[in-house]
Amino acid sequence: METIPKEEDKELDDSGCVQDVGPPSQQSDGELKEAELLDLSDDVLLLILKNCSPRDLKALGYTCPRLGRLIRDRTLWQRVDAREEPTGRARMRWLLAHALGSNTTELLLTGYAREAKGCLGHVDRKRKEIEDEIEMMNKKDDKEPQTPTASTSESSQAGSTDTVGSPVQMIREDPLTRLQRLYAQQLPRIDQNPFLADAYVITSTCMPNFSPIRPVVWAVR
Amino acid sequence: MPNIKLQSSDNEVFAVDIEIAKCSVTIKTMLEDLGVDDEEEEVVPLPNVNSAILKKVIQWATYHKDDPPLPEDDENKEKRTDDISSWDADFLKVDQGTLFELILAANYLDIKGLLDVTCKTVANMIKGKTPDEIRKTFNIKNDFTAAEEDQVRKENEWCEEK
Repeated sequence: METIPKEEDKELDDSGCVQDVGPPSQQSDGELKEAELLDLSDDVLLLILKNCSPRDLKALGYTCPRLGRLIRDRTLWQRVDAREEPTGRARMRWLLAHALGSNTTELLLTGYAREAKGCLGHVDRKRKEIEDEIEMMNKKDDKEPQTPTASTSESSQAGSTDTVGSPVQMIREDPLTRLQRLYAQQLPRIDQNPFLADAYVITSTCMPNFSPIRPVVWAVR
Repeated sequence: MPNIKLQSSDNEVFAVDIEIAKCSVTIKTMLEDLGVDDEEEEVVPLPNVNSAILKKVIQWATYHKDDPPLPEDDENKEKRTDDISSWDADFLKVDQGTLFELILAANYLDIKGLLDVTCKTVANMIKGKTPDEIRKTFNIKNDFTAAEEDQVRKENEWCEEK
């Protein structure tokens, strides 16, 4: 930081409270400086990350390797509420590849479908239910093997992280197709939204578990 | 009300109402373990907290002394960061260095309420920012290796969803 060292900083340094928890790399420069975000220990950083939305965690993960590692901590992805912003293709792929794990118990998303054919719809369900359905799907699919898609290779690269849970791998193999198939079945016909051309609004009538906070749409491009 | 003396890392001593000091679980446990006599003038050394920060912590604890105890963390509870009281928001209008020192002190002293509100304040500073903006805000060095950077570029479909 470009700040001029103040008298106070000297005292801070003497107190030892920064050094106590900071990673060694932060202390070796010998400079007297203000405490910074990355001076905090992993444990304390996780307390901050617990208050961040999935969208913010994703952004944090791209700032530096240490945060990139920390935001994948399993404890941050038990109950995932990503309704703050619509989850599109890229965000969904990222969530599946990097964040969701075998300990994820709930996933809340918003998004919308543009075409009835590729309708994704709102996911507001317990993980168990989704897994059961996927398992059913897989049983049906066994006779007609799928061609691998681009996201397969991407997922397998990310598979080295510790977030892989075995049932989820089925989603991860081809997340979008799976979800599309899953929810296209559940939402065969939905009301057309007069305000959004070529968009469909998903209402609670077509999905019993769904409680809308705002128009819920999932962009499919 | 009996007082207790808290000594900061830079040897400043603060006389504090014992009930207020006990909002710190660390101090509370210390007093219980030591079986401190009310009549005695105990000085509790806090080598991890300097006087400027200790003063702030005492100010916070004094204001919040009558707060009901916080509920246990519930994983099913919705996460909120917009429920910071206006007093706390004003109290935390400090520079980043002080904010992080407060987090460290709250963590060391085990003051859940103060830790919660300071962590939420930092989370709010992150909210809605792009990775670049976060780096600028918190002076984070982008020390990805070339290979990692490449991977990041591949993964980062940030703009796609803008």
